[in-house]
Amino acid sequence: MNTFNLKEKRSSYLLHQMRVLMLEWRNELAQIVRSPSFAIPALIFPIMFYGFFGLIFNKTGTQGTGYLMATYGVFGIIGPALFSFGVGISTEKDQGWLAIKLSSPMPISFYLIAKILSAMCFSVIIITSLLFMAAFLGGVRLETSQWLLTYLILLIGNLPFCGLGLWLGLSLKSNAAPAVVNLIYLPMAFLSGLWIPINFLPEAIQWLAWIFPAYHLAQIVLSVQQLAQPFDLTIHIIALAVMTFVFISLAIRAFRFSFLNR
Amino acid sequence: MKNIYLVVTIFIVSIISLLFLPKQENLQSDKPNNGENLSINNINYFDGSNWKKAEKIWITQGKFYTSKPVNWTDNTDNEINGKDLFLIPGLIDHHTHNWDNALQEALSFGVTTQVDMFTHIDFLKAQKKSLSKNNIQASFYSAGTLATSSKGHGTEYGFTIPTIDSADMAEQFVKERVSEGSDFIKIVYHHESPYYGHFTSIDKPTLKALITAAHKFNKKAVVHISSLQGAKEAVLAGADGLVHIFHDQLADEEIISLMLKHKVFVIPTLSVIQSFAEQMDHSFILQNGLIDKNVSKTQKQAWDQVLLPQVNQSSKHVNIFTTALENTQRLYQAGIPVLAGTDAGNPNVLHGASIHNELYLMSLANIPADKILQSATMMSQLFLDEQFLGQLIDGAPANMLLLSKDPQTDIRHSQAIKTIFKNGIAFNPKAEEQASNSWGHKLLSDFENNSLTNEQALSFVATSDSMMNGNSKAEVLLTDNTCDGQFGLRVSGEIKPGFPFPWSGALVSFSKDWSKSVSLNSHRSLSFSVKGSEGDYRLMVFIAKTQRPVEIPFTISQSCLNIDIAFSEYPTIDWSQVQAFAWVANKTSNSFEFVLDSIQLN
Repeated sequence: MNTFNLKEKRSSYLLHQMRVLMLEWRNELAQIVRSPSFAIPALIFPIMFYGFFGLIFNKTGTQGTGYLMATYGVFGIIGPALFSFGVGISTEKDQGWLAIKLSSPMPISFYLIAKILSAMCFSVIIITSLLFMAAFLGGVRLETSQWLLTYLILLIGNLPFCGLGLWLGLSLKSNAAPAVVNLIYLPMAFLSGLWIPINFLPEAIQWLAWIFPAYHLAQIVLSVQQLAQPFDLTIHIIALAVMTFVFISLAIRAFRFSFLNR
Repeated sequence: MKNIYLVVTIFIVSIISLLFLPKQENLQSDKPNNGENLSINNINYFDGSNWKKAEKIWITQGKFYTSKPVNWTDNTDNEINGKDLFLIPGLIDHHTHNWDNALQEALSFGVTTQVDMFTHIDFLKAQKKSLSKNNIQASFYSAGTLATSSKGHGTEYGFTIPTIDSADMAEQFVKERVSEGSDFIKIVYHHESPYYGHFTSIDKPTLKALITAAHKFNKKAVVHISSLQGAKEAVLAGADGLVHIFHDQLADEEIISLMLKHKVFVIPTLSVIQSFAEQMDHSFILQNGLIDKNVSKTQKQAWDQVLLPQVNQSSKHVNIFTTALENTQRLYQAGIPVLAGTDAGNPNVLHGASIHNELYLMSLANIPADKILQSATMMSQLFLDEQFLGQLIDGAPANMLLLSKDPQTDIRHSQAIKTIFKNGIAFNPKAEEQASNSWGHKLLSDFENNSLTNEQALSFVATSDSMMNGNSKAEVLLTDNTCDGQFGLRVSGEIKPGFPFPWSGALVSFSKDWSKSVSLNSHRSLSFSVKGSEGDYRLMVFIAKTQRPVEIPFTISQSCLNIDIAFSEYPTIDWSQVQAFAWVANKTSNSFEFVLDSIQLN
């Protein structure tokens, strides 16, 4: 009888926690949706850019369309992750909202998970739109497994950029964050070969791309279509994992500095 | 919470919707071929080793059988009467360089397997996906990136490749090639000789280390050589095969005994040596055969032209071809395995078509017809580890050619192809269907619609060797500084060294992906007005199934000139298969600018 009660209590506790997480996620989503100045560009830009450069002005045939589908996919998912975390957290930190969250009974991890899930929601819309545009407007033909893999890699590919955004958000003042995030986001996108294929960039710049997580993610996504550069895939996976670890470590350090050492 | 359920539902729907996205055609599918059942009665067939006579052979599930397969149901609709026909395995070209649609082109001439000796890594990766199941292009085995020194042969093609300069790099180099998907390792090695040219070469220890590393990874190592001494050193270093016949001097006893002792095969590539020696002709072409019908007039003219007296045709060039033929004969007669390979991808050596030339040249080296057929079929197994390759035996993929003439009597009958089967499916070359659509429009563009795209949706675009990693640049813009009317096309750019054949200018193609050629036979000339930087320029005419465009020179001055290029003055150009025109600056130009206008077919 006691065991039963314990189980019941545990499942009720878990349900409650889940409900808290869902509510936090819903609030986070509502907040984003109610900020059209963020939501609309985040959704429209990658889709529009891909439409222009991947479809209309693309002269490289369906292979180029498929290539740019992968790289603009990476470009698309980075935006919400970097801005939602980088700009969002720095603002909430400066406004004291993060401090309130910290002092509330909700685990702080739920705050972060809700942000990751929200960024992923944006990614779902962006990725699905890009894949459909590539398939029906650009004539890209892939195996079902390749479509699914591209989708899932891009979705999971959010995480390193959430980590990077988290670090930036916790480190930067809210008035500096948008500028700094843009300063990282746009050059990184270009230098990682997200806008134009990396092979078209000068060789020295091609090597510079190795320091960016976007390059490694793009190569992993491109490898699904066998369009990646001739380097071992595991190098990119390890590089991305190490970068994610470094970003999260830096974020933890910044968090401690901001809230615990005060 | 409802919102969350909505989000989760959208997520699930988006995933499910991916299942309905268009898939690749069978062209690149892993699925086995399920072509219809087929049987051929009373057929003489070559199984890769010997000629046999069968009352009936069966093809089902894309495979060849000499006895009735289980669950076979007779259907007279799918029976071929093989009387007076001859069935041979699909041909294998053991030395090719592939890009673009080379594999389709190869199959359209009866080559069902292309062995690639060096290609761009992107092409290798794209083609690596289960090509043996591919029904509309040749199967593909490749060395991927070749092993050469930092300024060696192979580095001159405008794209960067990894190179090797010391023996201690060998294992890592081979490991990388294997991880990229190379089926074997191809090494470029030159013993120092008068024909060494401006290339560098790996040294002997590096050659040996590369071969050892290849064997460690269970891959064959084949070596590009051109001299007798280079061949000896490659054999002593442990090479499995030589991918050219040496042609600097005649084979001696030493090389023969070395090759026999070390069981080394040779792929002579007489076709490319013949082309290099400017000894091409079209005596190999069988009248009304596949090449006679399907190779463009322009290409045939090009084959003939290399026979014309050339200023630089020295006896050295003539000798290398006769030496190559003699050496092929000597090695064959000594019992050294000779595999057919063309080096297709080089000037005047075509994918698919040239294998028939190679077979003919082997006959000039006094190799009997059945041995020549073996060299282009079953003998592949000395090189590539593939069970059924080049064979028509029970369970082998039905890659085969049905011939209407007997190749035992004349090897040129290999061109009398009635049907090409790939995985049991009769190949229907789409190119033929697409060819020769007559182009009825006169005006290509006068740009008066203020657009780079004309009324037939043909677009004028910039073109330069930068697309091959060259350094030239080009730009096209509309301009009002024109010869007549309101608008014209301003073409500007710069020719810079960095690519072997630099070009820069403007191009218009009759289809976006170059899949279509048009016949201009109903027109007599192409005219355009032009002005700009003074100098010599070229009109490039791109012809289907021809490797390089034909170039027609013209001059530009600062005042407007009306240029009329009469087609009758260029009888070597096959005007019935034009794919594109390009107006480009000469190789010697630096910066240039010109305005094109009123481009018209008359």
